[in-house]
Amino acid sequence: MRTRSNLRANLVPCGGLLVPPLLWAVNTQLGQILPYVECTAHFALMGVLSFAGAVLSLAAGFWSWQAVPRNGLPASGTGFPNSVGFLGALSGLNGLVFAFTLALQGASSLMLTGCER
Amino acid sequence: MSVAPEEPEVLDRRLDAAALDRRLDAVWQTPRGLWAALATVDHKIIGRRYIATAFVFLALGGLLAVAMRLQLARPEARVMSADRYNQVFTMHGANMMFLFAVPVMEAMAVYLVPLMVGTRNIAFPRLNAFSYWMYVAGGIVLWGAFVFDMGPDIGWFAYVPLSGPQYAPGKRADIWAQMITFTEVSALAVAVELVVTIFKQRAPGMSLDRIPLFVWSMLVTSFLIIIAMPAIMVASTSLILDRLIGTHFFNPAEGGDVLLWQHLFWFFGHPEVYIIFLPAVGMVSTLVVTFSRRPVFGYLGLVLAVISTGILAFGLWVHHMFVTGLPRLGESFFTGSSMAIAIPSGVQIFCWLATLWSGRPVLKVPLLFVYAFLFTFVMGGMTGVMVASVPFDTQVHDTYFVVAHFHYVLVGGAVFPLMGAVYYWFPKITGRLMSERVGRWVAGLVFVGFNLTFFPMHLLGLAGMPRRVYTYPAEMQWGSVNLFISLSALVLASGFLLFFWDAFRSLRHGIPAGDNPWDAPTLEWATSSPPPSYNFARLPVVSSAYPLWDERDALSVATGLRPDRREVLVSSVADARPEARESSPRNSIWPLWTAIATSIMLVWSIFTPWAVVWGSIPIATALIGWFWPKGVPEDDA
Repeated sequence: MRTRSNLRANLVPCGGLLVPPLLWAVNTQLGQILPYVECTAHFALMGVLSFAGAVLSLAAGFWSWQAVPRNGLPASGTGFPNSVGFLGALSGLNGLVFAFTLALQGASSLMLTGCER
Repeated sequence: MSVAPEEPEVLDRRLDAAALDRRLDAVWQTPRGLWAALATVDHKIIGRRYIATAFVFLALGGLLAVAMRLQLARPEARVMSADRYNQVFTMHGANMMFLFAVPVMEAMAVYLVPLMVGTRNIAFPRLNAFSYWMYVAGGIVLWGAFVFDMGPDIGWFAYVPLSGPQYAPGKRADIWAQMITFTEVSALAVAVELVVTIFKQRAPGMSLDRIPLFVWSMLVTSFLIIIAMPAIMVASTSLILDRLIGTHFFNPAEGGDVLLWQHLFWFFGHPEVYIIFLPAVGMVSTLVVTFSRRPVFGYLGLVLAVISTGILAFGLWVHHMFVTGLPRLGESFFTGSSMAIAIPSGVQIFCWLATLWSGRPVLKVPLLFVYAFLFTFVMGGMTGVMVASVPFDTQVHDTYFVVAHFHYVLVGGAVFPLMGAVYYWFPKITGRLMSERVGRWVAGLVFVGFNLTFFPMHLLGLAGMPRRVYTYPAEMQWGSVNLFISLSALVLASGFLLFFWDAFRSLRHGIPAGDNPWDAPTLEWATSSPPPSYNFARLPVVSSAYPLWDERDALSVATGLRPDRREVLVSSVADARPEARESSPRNSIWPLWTAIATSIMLVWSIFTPWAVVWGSIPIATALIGWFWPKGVPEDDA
């Protein structure tokens, strides 16, 4: 159990560094694949996926941000107590950057139908 | 079974300062003589060689640029033939990207990162030596081919089908493709060394929030290299296979795909821009702090900017392919990412401005280059946002507007900070200062010459002048602007000439600098200038991001390393807690032999695929020699 809780404590501060870029990479790739589907389906599929990605990105950033120790003391349960606060803050802000990027991608898919070549 | 008690080790804490220096010097010093020079694995010696070689390639590439401007100064000029011009612009681009820009940034890191993180040598020092020899060999191959009129003539991007067997007979395209292999092997090797050095060899206490910003930028850059460069190696190897043994990776008639080349190339090619730019971000951050006399404003924001820029760099490549007929919706996603990357770039700019604004800026030459960078890079960034837009890009694609844009970003964004960095770290490397007076002339000539040369290219591009044309008819009315550009290029060239002269002169006649002439805060200045062979007699212990400012009286040190063998301290990735002592390899001639064997195989394989089979035997032999235990203390774990 101890190992498991340590793993979680180590992962939480990094979540915003890992999840949002992954969502963005997948969304960008889907942007190459799904226009053909979207053109025939007449449904803003990419818009929905992009904005959902933006929300998830924000959530991942917020999740990491919460790992920042509030009392100024080193965090317990992790392998890097002196860096948890820095990593958590970095992850939180990173979630914001990628949420913005995904939102831009979502906005662009609202303006196009997928049929344009 | 009983275990015999071990011999008590001799540790550095039992020696006084003079005795420790003597012992460490005997272990780490590179002996005199040619053989020892070829066998050295000292990161400082290899770094110096790397930097000097890269600047030689900068000078050669600059001469090619002058040749191009001579040809384009007048309409319908005949300074050189169309064929020679094709070789010249290809050589200029390939040389500057693969032999100057990336290697010089890595070279600066090879020299500086171990000093900045407070360790005695780079990780995998023999791989470091190997990488330098491979880099030199790649440069010799490319320039040797050019001298014998076999220089590549396919652009630095080598688009198929023009570089394929059908349209590029002879060996010119193969030279380009194999030069890629040389330089990428070299770059990947250095990237791996830097990642391990930064993650595992930092001074005790240098947790993630205390890492110098130049080191952060090199860490991210190294990951970019590791992820991006395999794409171009796959592409260039596939091209060689198409050309040499008749595979059809890029032949649509046999099921191949020409667009695959562009995807592979630009998946590498766009991150390549950031591989060149991000080290410059680290340099600017370092210079701004030192010359503002205060800690950086927004350390967290700057680290975030470097990391998010590095990640976003992998989602922009299609903006080089907007006119290839991909679905517009897919393209718009790359527009979104291309515009979003302006956010971290903007964060960087505002952090630097805030640092300067709230500090007490000392207007030395390095800071002049930072000011030149800020103006020029912002200009290039704004035209970057313009060409990220599909409709605009469609209009200016392949015109001089794009030439102007990327020179603003690459020269303004990377070369200006690099020149500032050279003025800043020259005393660290040589023990002497470059001239402040000459440096101001250099900064002025380069800044003015650059803007007069490249700003009018925006106008030429908007007027429709295409890139990569060896001449143009007088009726197009581009002659006077081109003449102005060519004359301005001479101003720019004179600035670089003065820079090289100042560097050469200062090597012998520069004012002695002392250990820390700028009163800088980071660890590379905690040792003498130039540093001893072992970097630090006792490894520093860090308790802030600016140790030389916050612990002015006495820097804490760690003890417990053996002085009778090459040894480094291994620390934890995040918090830099000491974990173990690790031996660091001694000098060896085998990296050179391995590089020679690899070079022979790679050049030979341009002509026959059997070279890979037979050429691997000497490589394997050299590698066995490389790793064979030599019975020295460093062989122990």
